[in-house]
Amino acid sequence: MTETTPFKKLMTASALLAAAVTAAPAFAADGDSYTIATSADFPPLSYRDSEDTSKIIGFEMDMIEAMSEHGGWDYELKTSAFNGLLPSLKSGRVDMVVSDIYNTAERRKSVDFINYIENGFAVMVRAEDADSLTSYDDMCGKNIGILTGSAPEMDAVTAASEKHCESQGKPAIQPKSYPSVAQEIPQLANGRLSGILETLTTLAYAQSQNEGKFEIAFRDPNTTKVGIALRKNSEFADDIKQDMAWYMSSGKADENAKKWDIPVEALIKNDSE
Amino acid sequence: MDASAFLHYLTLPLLWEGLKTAMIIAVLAFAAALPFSLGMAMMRMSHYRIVRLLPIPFIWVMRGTPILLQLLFWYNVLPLVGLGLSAFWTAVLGLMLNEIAFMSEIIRGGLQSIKKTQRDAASALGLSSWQIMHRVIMPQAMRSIAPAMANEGMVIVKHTSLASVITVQELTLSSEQVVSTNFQYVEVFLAAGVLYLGATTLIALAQNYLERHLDLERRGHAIAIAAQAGRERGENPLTGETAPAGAESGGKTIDTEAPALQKFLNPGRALANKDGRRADGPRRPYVVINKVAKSFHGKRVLRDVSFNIFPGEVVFLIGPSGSGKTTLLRTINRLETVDDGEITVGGQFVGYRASAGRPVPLRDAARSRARVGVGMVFQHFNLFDHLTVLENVIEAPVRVHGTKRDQARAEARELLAWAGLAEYENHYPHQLSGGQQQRIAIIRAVATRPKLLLFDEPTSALDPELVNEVLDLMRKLAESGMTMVVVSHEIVFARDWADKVVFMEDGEIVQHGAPEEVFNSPDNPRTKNFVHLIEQRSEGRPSKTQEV
Repeated sequence: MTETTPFKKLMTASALLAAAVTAAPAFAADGDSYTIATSADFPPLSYRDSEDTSKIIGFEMDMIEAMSEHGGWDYELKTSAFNGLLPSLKSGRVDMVVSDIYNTAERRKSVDFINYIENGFAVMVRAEDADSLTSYDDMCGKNIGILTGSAPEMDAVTAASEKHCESQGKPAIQPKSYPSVAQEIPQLANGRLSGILETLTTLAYAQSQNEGKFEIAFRDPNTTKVGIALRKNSEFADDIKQDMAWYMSSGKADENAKKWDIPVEALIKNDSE
Repeated sequence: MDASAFLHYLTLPLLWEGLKTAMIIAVLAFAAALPFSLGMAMMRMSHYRIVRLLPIPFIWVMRGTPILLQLLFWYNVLPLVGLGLSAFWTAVLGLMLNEIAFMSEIIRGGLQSIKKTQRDAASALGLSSWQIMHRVIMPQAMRSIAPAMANEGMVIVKHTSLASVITVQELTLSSEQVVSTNFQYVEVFLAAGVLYLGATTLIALAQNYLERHLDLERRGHAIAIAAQAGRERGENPLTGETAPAGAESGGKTIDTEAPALQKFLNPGRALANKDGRRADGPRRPYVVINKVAKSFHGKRVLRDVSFNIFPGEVVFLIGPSGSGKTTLLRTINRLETVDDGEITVGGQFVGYRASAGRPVPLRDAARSRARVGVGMVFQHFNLFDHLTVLENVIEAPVRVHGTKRDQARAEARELLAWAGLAEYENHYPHQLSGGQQQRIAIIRAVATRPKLLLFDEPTSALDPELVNEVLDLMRKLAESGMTMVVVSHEIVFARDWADKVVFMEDGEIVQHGAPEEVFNSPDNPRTKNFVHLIEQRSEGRPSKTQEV
C-alpha cells in the first residue's frame, strides 16, 4: 500500500467537487425562458409516455407548448416529487408549476393561480362493490384514499363524513393518505381501501388502464379549480394570463381536451380568479 | 405478475438514467464526506476543549433531523444567501453534510478503539503524530470502520430517492411516474428494487474486498502454512538455505557473538568491556535526572527525584506498585512531561525546548527522541498488530531515520537472525508467543540504533517459561555496552547484570547503589521488606535465570 495515494485521491475528489460546486450555473429565470415543474404522474394531464419514457405528455404539456409558441417564450421542464413542487416555486427555484395543482384558499395565500380546468372529485370503488357503494352514505366507517398533503381532498372527505355519517350517528369516513394515485390503486384492489377520492379526469384514466377492475361509483358535488401556480406578483404573470386567454378562446383547448378525454365543459374559458 | 413486463422495466432507459443519477450523487457525496468526516473525527479527539466541542452542534442537528427536511432546507435557503446550486449539487451537498455527521462518529469510534499503547510505542520509536495516525492507528481502526462505512454507503444510495423532492429525476421518482401511467406497480417497483439492490450489492462486494484485505487472520494463516512447508523441507524460509541444526526452535540458540551487535549499534567504537567500564575513571553521566517532580490529578507521583546514569550502565528501577518507577521511566523519553526539574540525555533535552527559566515541552517530541536516540520496550510488547514482524522492525528506520528500505530490511533480517527470529519475519504479532513478541519489540527498538534503551517491566506479562528468552536477549544488549534503564522485578537478573539498582517508594528514591549493596544489605527497612517479598516469590516458581 502506498501511503499517500488514497488521501490524495480524496483530496482531488473534494477539490473537483468544490470546483464543480462553484462553477454550477446560477439559477434564475431571464424573462423569456421559464422553468416549469411537474410531477409527471397525473395522467391524462401530465405523465410519462409509456412508449418513450423520456417524453412527458398530457393535456397540460400540450397546453404549455401551445401557449409558449403563441407567447414566444421558452421553457425548461423539471420533474419533482409532488410534495417538492410548491416549495421549489416559493423559493424561486422554478417559475411555474403545472401539475394538476388545485387552486385552494390556503395556497392562494402564498401563490397565484391561472386556472384552466374545473375538475370535480369522484369516488372510485372496486367493480364488485359498485352496486353497494353508491354514495357517501355507504362509505361511513370505511377507508377512503386521498393524496398526501392535498387539502381539497381532505376537506371533501371531512365535509362528506360530517354531513352523511357523523351527523347521522354513524362512524366517520376514514381518510388514508398516499403519495400518488398509483400507490392507492393496489390498496383499493387488495381491500385496504374501499374507495379512492380523486379528480374525475384522473380516475377516468385509472379506470381505463385497469379494465373491468374498478368503477367510478359517484361524484362529489363540489368542484375544485386547477391552475398554473406562480409566485405572488411574478412580473410575467400578465403575459401568461394573456397566453392562457388566447389558448382557451382559440379552439386549441377544445381540441386538446378531446384528445385527452377531458370534457370540454371542464375547461375554464374565462378565468376570473 | 407479468414477467415480460418486469424485464421491460428492468431494461427501461428511464429507470437506468434514474439509477445513474442516484449513483453519481451517492458516490460524490460519499467521497466528499470522507475527508471532512475524518477531519471532524480528529476535531472531536483534539486536546483542545473548544475544538473538541465545536462540531457537536453540527453533528447534533445533522443526526437529529430528517434528511428530507435538510434537503428541502438547503435547496430553498441557499439561494437566499446567493448560493444557487443546481438541484443535483444541492442533493450532493445535502447528503454529504448529513453523512459527515454520521461518518465522523464512526471514524472517531474506530480510532478510539485502538489502544493508547499502540500510540505510545509508535511515539517512542520517534514517529510523528501524522505518521502515528496514518501508519499505525488508521490501518488498524479501518477494520472496525470498514463495515460501518459500507452501511453508510448503502444508506446514501437509498437516501438519493429523497432528492426527488428537490426536482432531481432519480430512480424512485422515475418508477413512480411510470407506475402512474400504467399501474403495473408490482413489475415496476420490483425492477426498481432490483436496480437498487444491484447498486448496493456493489458496495457490499467492495466491503468484502476491503475486509479481506484487512483481515490479518487470513493473510497470516497463508504465511504460516508457507513457513511450515518451508520448515518441513528443512529450508530456511528466508534464504532457501538449509538451516543449521537447532536454529528452528527459536530463541534458544542466540548467537553469542555480541560484537556483531556492538558493530551494528556503534560502528567505529570499540567494544566496551563490562568490567572495564568503571575503570575508565571519571566520566560524564549520560542521563541526568535533576529534581524531577510530577503529579497526576493532584497526587504527587514523583518527588524531587535525582540520579545520573553513565554510558553503558544498566540501571534497575525497583519498588512496589505505584511507587512511580514506570512514570519516572516514561519521563526520560517524555512519554510523560515533568512538572518540575529537568532531564537530559546525552546533554540534550528530549522533547523540551531550552528556555530562559525552565525547559518548555515541545508539542511533538518524536523528532527529539529520534535525534537523541532513546528506545523503549513495553510490558505488553505493543507491536503493531497490522504489520508483519519485518515491517514492525523497519518502520522507524525507514520512516523516521530515512534508511533506504532495502538496507533497513537487510539490517532487520540480520538483527532478527541474531535473535533467533529469522523464520518469523513474515508472521503477524498475534501468531507469535509473548516471548517472541517481546524479543521482536526489543529488536524493533534496537533497529533505530538507540544510545539508551528503556524497559518497562519487559517480562511481567510473560508466562514463566518464556521469561528466559527475553532476559537472554537483554543480557546480550547489556554485554554489547547498551545503556539500559529497566523497570523490573527480576531480582536474580538484576543481581547479575545491573550496575546500579534504584529502589523507589512513594515517588521517592529510598536507596540506590550497586545491586549487592541494595539486595544484600538493605539499609532501609522498606527496601528490606520488598526485596524479601520479591525473593520469596521468585523462589516459589522455577528459577528462570540459573541457566543464564
